[in-house]
Formats: sequence, C-alpha cells, structure tokens
Amino acid sequence: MLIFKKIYPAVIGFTVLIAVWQTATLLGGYNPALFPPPLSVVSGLWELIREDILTKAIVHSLGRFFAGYVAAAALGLVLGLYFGYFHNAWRFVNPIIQFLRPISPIAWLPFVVLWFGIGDIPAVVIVFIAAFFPILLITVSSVSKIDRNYLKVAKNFGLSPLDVFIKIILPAAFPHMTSGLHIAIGTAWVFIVAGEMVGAQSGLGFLIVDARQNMRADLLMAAMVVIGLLGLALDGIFGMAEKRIYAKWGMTKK
Amino acid sequence: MFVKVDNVSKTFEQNGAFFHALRDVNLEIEKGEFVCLLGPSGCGKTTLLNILAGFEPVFDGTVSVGSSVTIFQNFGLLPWRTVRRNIELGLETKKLSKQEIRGTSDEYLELVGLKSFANHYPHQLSGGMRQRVAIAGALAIHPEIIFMDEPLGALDSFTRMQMQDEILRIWEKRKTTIMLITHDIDEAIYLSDRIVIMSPRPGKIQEILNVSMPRPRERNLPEFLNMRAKILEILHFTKEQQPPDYYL
Repeated sequence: MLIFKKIYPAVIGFTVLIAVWQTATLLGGYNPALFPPPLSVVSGLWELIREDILTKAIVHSLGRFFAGYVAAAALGLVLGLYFGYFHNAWRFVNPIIQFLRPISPIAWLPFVVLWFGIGDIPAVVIVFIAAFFPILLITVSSVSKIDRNYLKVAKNFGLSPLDVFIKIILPAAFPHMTSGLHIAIGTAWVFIVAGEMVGAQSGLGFLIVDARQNMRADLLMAAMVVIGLLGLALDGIFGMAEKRIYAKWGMTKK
Repeated sequence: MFVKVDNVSKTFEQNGAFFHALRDVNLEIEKGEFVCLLGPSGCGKTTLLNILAGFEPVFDGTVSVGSSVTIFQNFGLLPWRTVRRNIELGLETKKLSKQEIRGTSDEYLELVGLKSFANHYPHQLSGGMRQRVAIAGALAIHPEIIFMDEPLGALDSFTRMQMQDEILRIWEKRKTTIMLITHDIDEAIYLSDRIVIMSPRPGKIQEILNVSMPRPRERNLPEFLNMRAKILEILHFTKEQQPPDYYL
C-alpha cells in the first residue's frame, strides 16, 4: 500500500503520456516509420528481447558505463579529498577544472578515437569525463564545508592529523560526497549513448545507430525507452542508498 | 595551584579598530573546585575559556592548565557515531586495547545512565541525553579539568535543572575540577564553590564570590536569594528606587 502511494503519480503520469502518444499517432496519420505508435515500439522491444539483442546490449552498456564511472569516482574522490583538505593547492587547480568542465565530453570524442581507437574505449572515456568533474567538485566542496565544530571536537580530544582525516573529515564529508556520486551517475549515463555511437559494435548506443541505418523507427524508440528506464533505475537505486546514508548520519535530505 | 591565569589580555582587531576581549585577567583554581564564570554576553568569558582550553593560542600573559577537555553548548557529538562510539572517541587516542576501551565506555555509559542507549545515534536522543553523552566522553579520558561552555544553554528549563543535579552528582562522585561558563545566575549559585563575575568592555573579572551553602542547595532559601540579589547588584541590574516626580 505504501509503495503504491509512492509510485501512483508516476504510474498515472506514464499512462497519460502513452495515451497521448497513442492518440496522436492515431489521429495525426503520421508515417509510422517516422513516428511509431507505442504498440509498435512494444513489439519492437519484444523483438529485441526475443532475439537476445537487448540483454547483450544492456550488459555491454552497463559494463562500459561502470568501468568509466568507477574510475571517475575513484580518481574524483581521491583528488577531491586531497584538494578539499589542502585548499591552497585547490586555488591553483580550480581555474583549470572550471576551464575544462564546460567542454562537452562529446568534443573529446575525435581525440579519444585518435588516441585510444574504437571499440569499448570511447564510451568508457566519455563516461569518465562526464562523471569526473561533478564528483571532483562536489567532493572538494563537501570537505571544505565541514562543520568547524567537528574539527573543534577533534582538537578537544587531541586527535592526530591522520585520525582527524579518517575519523572526522571523511565521515563528515561522506553524505555530501554521495550526493556528488548521485548527480554524476545521471550526468554520465546521458553520455553512454554518444560514446557507443562511435565505432562500438554493441550496446544501447550501437542499437540506436543500427536502427537508424535500417530505418527501424520502432527499434530506435525501443532503445530510447530502455535507456530512459535504466537511467531511472540507476538514479532510484542510488537515491535509496543515499537516503539510508543520510538517515544514519541523522540528516534529512531536502 | 591547579589552574593559574596570570595577567591575561586578548585583543581582537575588527575593521581596523581594536577591541579588548580580555584585559589583565588573574585567576586561580584549586584541584576539585567547581567554578562558574558568570557574565553578560561580550564579557570575554568564552574567550577566557578558549584560551584555557587551548583553542585560542594567541594572547598576552601566561596560563598554566593541566590536561583538559571542553564540553560545548552544541554537545560536540559526531552524528555518525553511536553513543558508545562518541564516548570512545577520546579513549581511542590513548594507548588502550579494544577491551579496555570497551570496558571504560561501559563504565561511563553506566555513570550517566545511558547504558540502554549505547547503540543509539545522537539524533535519536533528547538534548539532555546528548549532553550526558558529551559529559561521559569528557570524563572517560580522566582529564584534570573539564571546561563547560554554557553546556545547558540549549536545554529547556526543566531539563536544565535536572542536568544541574546530574552534573553535581557526577562531580561529587569523580572529584574532577570543573569550570563552567554560564549567564544564568541561579545556575551559577546552585552549582559553584566560587562564582567569577565578569564584566564587558574591556572583558575583566569584576568580583569573585564564595558560595558556602551546603549542597544540595535550595533555590528558595533566603541565603540563595540574597546571593542572587548581590550578583544582580554587581551586574547593575537592580533598579534604583526613583522618587516619584510628584504626588497626587
């Protein structure tokens, strides 16, 4: 009952969306090859599932996604903790980061292909670039914004610098750091498709390229639906984990 | 002398103007004594405590203090640690085995009556309970003196009175030296052996009063009320009886 209460607005929203979509295709008389109705998208989806294309595509995409994301998280968190703690060093690095950040990960694609070739690498690198900046920036700010009272407590009990880092700074910054990881997961997922449209022979991005080349608007739309649903799932899972962390820390997430 | 403050002055610079937070403060505290620093906001009592506790390293004059721990108004607990782990924070800096740490935290959980809350987090406790956790954590490392910076300021008046008894009970049991900052006159009279009254601009000690009433003290006894009247007078809060301008 509680779950129903939580998800019913989403269910109603999606039902209305699909109904409007179906009505538009019925009344508009559009060419289904240009604007497919929901039912043919569902049958396209079924075709992808039946021929075992979809599962493989999802597995490949998620594999590349997590390779890039985990690498970005590892580097972003380590550098973020370092620069948050040594804020003077950050003053030199921050301008460079702010300069690199607005450059779309896609702009890197030609170089990525030239340097790393085609295949799995472009998608992994694009996801890495997309995830790295938000994780780094939010980690730095979460360390530098730690409640000064915690540092006073550390001084009060005479903690060593290493203990201050492990027992105070790390746990105090942790909830905000997970927010950075959460934001980055959504941002980076957006770019998996772009990364896989360059020379990959599998994955959801490849599915899109493939459907376009075969003029299969239903399969194209089906792939888009799957990308959206997976993004929703990733965000939901992370959101739940984040909520638990915030609850344990005695904080409420706005 | 257990705590010795010698000619301590502290000046802050604010927008080019100098402001004397403390000027020529001298104070001595005996071992096992319960001293309250009483005064209005801006009289430098927190500055004095910060100097004694080592949070404020730059000042003029000399102080000598033994090992100390401070209890803050906002309790100074770490929200991601359970009650037990908060009490153990200070113990972890000592060279103790896991069992010794566990045993000591058990002992202090018992002392402040929070044994059944050992695995709760601070946000699950009331304000009074949180302050008891802070007190347990401070006592656990056996400091020679405990500084308390308006420790009960965030509590409602009923919890506050309960906590005053709690602090006295623990103090009598442990015989730790305590210096407590407050701006509550009754609290100072109820708790202290000596009350150090401070006045602002520049922050200095105005007067030191001995409180010789036996504990537990009754807040309504004439002695208590006299003391209170005296302090109000020192702090210039008593209204002079103005003769009326005219009679009808």
